[in-house]
Amino acid sequence: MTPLIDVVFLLLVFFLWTSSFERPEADLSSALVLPPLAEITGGSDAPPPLYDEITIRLVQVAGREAAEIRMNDQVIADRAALADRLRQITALGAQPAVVVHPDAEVSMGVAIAVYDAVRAAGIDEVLFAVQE
Amino acid sequence: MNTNLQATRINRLPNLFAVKLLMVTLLGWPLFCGAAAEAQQPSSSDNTANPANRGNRSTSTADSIQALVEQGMLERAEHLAREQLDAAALSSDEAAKAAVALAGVRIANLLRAPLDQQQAHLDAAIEPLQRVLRAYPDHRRAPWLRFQSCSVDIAVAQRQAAVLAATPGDERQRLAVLATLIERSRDLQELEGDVSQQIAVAFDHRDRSPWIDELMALRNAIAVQRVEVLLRRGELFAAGTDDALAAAAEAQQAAIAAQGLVRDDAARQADLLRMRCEALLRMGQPDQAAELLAPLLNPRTDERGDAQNLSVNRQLDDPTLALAVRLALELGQLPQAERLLASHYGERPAEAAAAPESDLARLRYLIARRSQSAGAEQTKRDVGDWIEAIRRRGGDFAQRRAETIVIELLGRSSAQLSDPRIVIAAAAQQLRAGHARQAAERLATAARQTRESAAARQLAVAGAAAYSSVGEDLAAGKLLLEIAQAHQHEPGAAELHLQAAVLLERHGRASAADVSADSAVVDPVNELLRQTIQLWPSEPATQQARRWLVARLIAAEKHVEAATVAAPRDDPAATEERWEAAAAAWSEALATVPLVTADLAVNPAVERLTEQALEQFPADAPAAEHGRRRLSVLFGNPALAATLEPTDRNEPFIDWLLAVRRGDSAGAPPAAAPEMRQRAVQRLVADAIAAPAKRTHLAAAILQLEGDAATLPRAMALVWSNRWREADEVLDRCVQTDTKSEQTAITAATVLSRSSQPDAKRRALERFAAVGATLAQGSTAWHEVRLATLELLSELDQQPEAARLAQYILLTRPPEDPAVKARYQRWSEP
Repeated sequence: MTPLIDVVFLLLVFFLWTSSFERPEADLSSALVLPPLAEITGGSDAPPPLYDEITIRLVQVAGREAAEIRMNDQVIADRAALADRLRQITALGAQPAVVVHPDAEVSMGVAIAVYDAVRAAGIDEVLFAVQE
Repeated sequence: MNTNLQATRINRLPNLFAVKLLMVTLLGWPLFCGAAAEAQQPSSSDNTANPANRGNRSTSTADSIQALVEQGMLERAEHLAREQLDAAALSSDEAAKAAVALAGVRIANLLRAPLDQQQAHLDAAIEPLQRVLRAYPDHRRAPWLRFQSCSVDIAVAQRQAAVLAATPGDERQRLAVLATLIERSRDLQELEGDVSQQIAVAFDHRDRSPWIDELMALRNAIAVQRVEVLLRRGELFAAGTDDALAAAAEAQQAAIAAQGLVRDDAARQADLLRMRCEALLRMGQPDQAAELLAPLLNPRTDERGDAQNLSVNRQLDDPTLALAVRLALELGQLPQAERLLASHYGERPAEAAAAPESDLARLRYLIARRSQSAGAEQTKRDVGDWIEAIRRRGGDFAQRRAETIVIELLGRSSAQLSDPRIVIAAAAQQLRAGHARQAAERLATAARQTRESAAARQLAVAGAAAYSSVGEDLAAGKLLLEIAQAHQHEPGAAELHLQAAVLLERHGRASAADVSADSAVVDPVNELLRQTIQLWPSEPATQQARRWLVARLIAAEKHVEAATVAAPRDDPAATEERWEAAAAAWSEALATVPLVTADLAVNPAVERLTEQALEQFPADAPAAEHGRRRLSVLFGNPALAATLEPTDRNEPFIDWLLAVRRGDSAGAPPAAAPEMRQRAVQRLVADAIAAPAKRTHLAAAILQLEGDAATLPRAMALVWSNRWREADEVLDRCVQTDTKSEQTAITAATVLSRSSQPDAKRRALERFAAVGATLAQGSTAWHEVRLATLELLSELDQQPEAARLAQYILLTRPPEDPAVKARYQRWSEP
């Protein structure tokens, strides 16, 4: 009969090999926004929210190192100004959804930084827009 | 447009001409019947046609056939002849006689038929003759059958030659006719030789039977026919040419030879003499011709020579008269020509019975007299009058022959052609010859040079028709326009002007250069029509111009302009009907502008437009009163409607609407056209918006008019009747049926927002939120929806929420329009 200690040792080795140390993506508080596949012809019965979602575009402009930030097509000077504007919004008691939409040329680091800034301003629902 | 220049084909010859050809054709037929008995005694050609052996059955039948043909009863004549032919043995004399008779009837049919059916009739006419000859090539009566066969061909060729004389220019046709005549002339010569040989043989046998007499009568007929053919052949050449002279010389020789053969036949002698004179005239020997013809003109005074044979009491026939007149004119004996014509035509030439030859001879005389008395207006007019008389008497064909003579004698210079009818005749001749552009230019020049308005108008119309016939509508229109403007105070100028507009519009369409679609450029046709209306306000043509202009403006969606034109302000004689039409046009124009705007306000533009419309209906024009009242009731503001009183006119719907607008009890609405009901609904909605105190009363009327239709006015009426849930259902149906427009959804929410009930306002809030989500953020409509939402929140005592929303929008979607931004800022203040 195999000693119990061997079984425990084998189980330990098994779990060591099968465990992942990477943090799962689902644990992040963000989601992806995909473009609609078809025109939506009907809506739900629930009335739409009064506060419309906010779209933040990150555009890589030629000749500039940093990506340009546009909130609802308004150019925002930098991340700090963006955070300031968003804090004013949350101060109203509004909790709009914010969609971060980086261009393909914008680095992931910049996108994450903007994401962090939005979260830091107190916005709960932040989404990434991607193109298929 | 009335014009003589339409290039119609000559399909029928005038009856007189047809009868003459017919008699020529039937020549072979009486020869059978009368020659034997006539051989012993000289007689006229009429006598020749009378059958001697009246007891004979076939001769009686031939008589009947001839009588039927002369009376125009061709069907019966043909039936009779065919019956006779079918009953007889083909070898018999009766069969030959019947074949000749049947051919004669059928050629009579041919001469009455259109030219394009000629060949079929020709084949039918030849068929009975060929049937007998094919069965019996050596038939005893073969020469008669051959002669009739030739006569059929000659009749057709002569008809075509006559057409060519009236419509020159078809060279191919001319050569074809010439070939036929030459061929038939040769056939006749050959036939004459055969018959002469038979006569000689009969004499050798000392045969004095009637057979010889019949043969001699046939030979004489052939000889006369041949001269006729030779003369006709000469007509196919231009006068004075070598060919024409040669043909005339040959005809003269043939006539002399034939005269030697027909010594005993006075009628034929006379015919031959006339033909000989005709040939001499063509040969340029009018003196000799006149000398020869003199015994025919004065038979009693001449006791010698040929004249003795001619001295019978016969009235001057048309061919002889025509020839005598021409000879007199050729010799410059105008009084002699006048005397001859006076004796023939009397005091009223246009009513005298005469053949076309005489009519044309008189035309030549009138032209000669006109040339001698240059400047006398009456003589100038006489020519034109006589051309018209010829047309009345002989039809288009005779008129064209007359026109040909006019051109021949007066030349082609416009300067000589001062009478517009003569210019038109000359141009018509050119047109038929295929020179339409030259004809048009001739007419245009004459029209521009003529000071007399009626003549200028006549010429311009003909010129425009000629231009149009070659597709030059622009030139045609310009000509009419020019003449209309130059003679604008004369009758008919308005019609010319209008016609010019028609032609220019057609030109515009054809060249795809019509600028009516481009409102930036002044439309020349519309301008012309405006001029017509302005210059001749009371002319009948102006009404047409007005209607056309209105239609054009409506087609270009210029409704207000159309309505303004439709009002006959400048015509004091305008009838009530025309004012009604103007009111209808204004109704259409006003209906194109919404009376209630999308934000449920009364459109001030309609009020301004209504004022503009009513200005077109003068208060001092009783005929305009009805139209004015109708417009006031349908489109006038409440203040205006309050001044109106019911009338005794039978317009129950208008009266009902007026009563409702005035706040009176009106009952159920009378029947009316759907568009009228729709306009009434719009008017009542506008009244209700303007006067909240009257809303319940007006809403009831609107609901009566709308029934259960899903319309915004009905929803509004339901809201005003405190039935907002029903209104909400109606609005749902409106939005569902009107899929194209987000505006409908916005208006639907606005309708509910105007309710005084909080629940209805909350439902309106939902509607605004729903429609806002479908709109592009930051768009004008989106901001309007958001501002309406703020207002509703305020009305529902949710001012803090409204302020928050306004601040949110200023932070996230600030509007570019400062006015809109200011409105948000006002709402954002706590």
